[in-house]
This record gives sequence, C-alpha cells and structure tokens, in this order.
Amino acid sequence: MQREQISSSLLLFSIGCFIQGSTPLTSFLSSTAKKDAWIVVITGFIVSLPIIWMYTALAAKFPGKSLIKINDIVFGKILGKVFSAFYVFFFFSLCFLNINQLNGFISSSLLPETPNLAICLLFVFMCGWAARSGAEGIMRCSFLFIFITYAISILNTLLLWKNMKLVNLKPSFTLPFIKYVQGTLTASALPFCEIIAFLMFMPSLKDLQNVKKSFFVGLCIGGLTLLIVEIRNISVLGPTIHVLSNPNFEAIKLINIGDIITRMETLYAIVLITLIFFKVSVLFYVTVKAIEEMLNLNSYQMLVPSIGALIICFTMIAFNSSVEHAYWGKGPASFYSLFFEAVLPTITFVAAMIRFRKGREVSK
Amino acid sequence: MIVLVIIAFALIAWLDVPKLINRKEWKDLIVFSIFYIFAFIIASLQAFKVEIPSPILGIQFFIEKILHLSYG
Repeated sequence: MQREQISSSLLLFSIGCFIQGSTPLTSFLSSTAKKDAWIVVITGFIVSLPIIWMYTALAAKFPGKSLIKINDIVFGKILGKVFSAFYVFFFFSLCFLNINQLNGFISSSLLPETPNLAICLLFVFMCGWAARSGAEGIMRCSFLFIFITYAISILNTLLLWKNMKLVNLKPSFTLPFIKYVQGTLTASALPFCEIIAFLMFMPSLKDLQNVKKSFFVGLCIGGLTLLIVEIRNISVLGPTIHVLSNPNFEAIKLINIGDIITRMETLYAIVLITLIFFKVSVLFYVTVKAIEEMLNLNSYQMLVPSIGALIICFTMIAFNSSVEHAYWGKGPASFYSLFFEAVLPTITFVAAMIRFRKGREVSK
Repeated sequence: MIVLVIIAFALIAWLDVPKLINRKEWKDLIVFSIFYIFAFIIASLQAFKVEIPSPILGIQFFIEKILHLSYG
C-alpha cells in the first residue's frame, strides 16, 4: 500500500476546518458566559496557546512519530500502552459526542419526525467510509470545506447586518468570575485543544519543519470563525442567546431581505453537517489508527465497521435527553477533555524532556 | 430489529474475515474479533431494549461526586 503524504498546508486547512466543525459547541459557551461569550472565546484561545505549543514541541522532539509512538518511546511498552488506551477512548468518545450533538441539531431543527438511529446510521456510514479511505482522502476535503464555510459565514453575517445591534455586547464583565473561568476552560477544551488528534497524522506529514506554523495558523483560522460567529450571534440575538439550544441556527433564521432572501438556515445546516462530517471522519480515522498503532496491527481498515457499530451504539446511549448533553457540555466536559488534552500531554512532555535531554538522541 | 443487527454484523464479517484469513493475519483477526463481539453484544442488547448505562454519565458522576470538580 502506498504511503500517505500530507502537506503542511493541508494540515493547516484541516485544523482550521476541524475547529470550525465545533461551531455548534458555541451554544455551551453562550449558555455559560451569556453575552460575554465572545470574551471567553478570546481567553480560551489564549489559554490553549501554550497547550498547542506543547503539542508542536512534542512533534518536533519526535519527528514523524504519532502520539501513540511517542507514548511508547517515552514511557516504554507497558505504561505507554496505558496512556495510548486513554487516548483511544478519548478520540472514540469525541466521535459519539459530536454525532450526538449533530443528532440533537437535526432532530430539533430539521427532521423532527425522523428517528435518531436513522440519522446516526447514515452519518456513521459516511464517516466510516471516509475513515477507511485514509487520512489523505479526508484531509483533501478540508481545503474546499474551509472556503465554503468562510464564504457562507461572511455572507450570513452581511445579510444579518441590519439585525445586528452591537449595543447587545455591552455591558461586559458583569458575570461572576467563575463563569469566565468556566467559559474559558470550555472554549479551550472543546473546540481548540481537540486538535491534539492531529498529532496522529505526524507520520504522514511531508514537511516536518512547518508543523508549528500549521498548528498555530490553523488554530487562528478556526478561532477567528468562532469569534465572528459568536459576536454575530450575540449582537443579533441579544439577551435571549443563553436560552437557545442552537444560537447560530436561530440567528440565521432571522435573515429576511425584502421577503426574497429568506430561509438561509438550510444553507447553514448543510455547512454544519459537512463540517461535522469532516470532524467526525478525522476523529474516526484517528481512533482506528490509534488502535492499529497501539496493538501493532497490519491495517486499520478492518476495524472500521466494528468501531462504527460501537459509535452508533454509544451515540444512542450517551445521553437520555439534550438537556443532559447541554449540562455535560457546560461543566464536566471541560474537565474530562482537559485531562486528555492538557494533563496527559504535560506528563508526556515533562517525561520526554527528562529522558531525552539535549545531547541524548531519541533512540527509535 | 435483532434481525437487522444480525444481517449487518454478518455483512461486516463477510467483508473482512476472509481477507484476514487469506493473508494469515491472525493477530489482526483476534483484535477484529474482540471489537466485533463487543459491538455485536452491545448492539443486540440495544435491539432487545436492554438499558445499558451510559459511560459518559458514569464519567460525569466520577468527576462531580468523587473528584468533586465542578464550577459551583
């Protein structure tokens, strides 16, 4: 089988697209920080910078090695496998949590009569197909998706211009301090630091010198979209933003230019489904690839159907209602994600720095 | 429902198992079988409408009640 090749620009666009796929998660931010959600997007972005720097430092320290191989090198075969098993479960859980989010959106806004299982089945089938085709195939889509998303986001913002009241952003900093901490950690853990998944693509990367640039520029592209979307939603919806389950959708619903340009939310729904498809495909691929590398298998393709079936099962049992999911997203999700995105990589990073100090070569 | 689950899993086995046997990849076959059996059990239980505890709600309980991590 031909070795996959990913250029640094493709990695950059994929990271941007991956973060854009988290736009529905901004509802967790607006329900926590209300009209100051745009501030927590910025603070969350700043907090995630050192964590992302750590990912790039690990990638630079172990060139061409994936997260799983780095664990093996740093901690040895047994402890390394324990760390890797944690990451496998994390990537797997992100798959079904994101599909659950999409299910909630589709069943509440687009297809209320359709059973969740039917949506989930078709969606996982498509993502599994993409994951089975390989990393390069998935990532090549990102270039197209990112421009479509930017074009539609800017178009929607321009069409909503007359509904936007920047006065809705004021007054700022009126909430208790803990709400900003909560919002910042949620913003950092849910959209931004999830890009740890891209450390699994390092073996396929062509130009390893540009990893840092790809990660940070991709992060900026994704972060900027989230910021634009958040400011637009708050200025359009005002104080009602924190009671809505999907503020983006509700804001775009208000577009009405002379009774001709209306129902733009369908366009947004298509973009959203496409972005979540991209995000889940990446996570799906990363999950099966991580299992393959952890257990030294010959191929990951044969795992795709079984893992896909498990994703469907876990999506159906994850939450009993969308209220439970909203509660999870606002609070425990940030602790859960940060354990895998900040705590475990910090341990790996510190251990790598101690074991492979300057002058001591990385043996494998 | 259970019939659909059996058909789907039979299809999965038919797609991948012969290839693994032909290529004599026994380790891959064992790993495949473990995930396959686990997925089949979970899917069958769901088809029979058996209530399966959510791992996410379990993690939530662990974070909030055992680690006492919450934003108050």
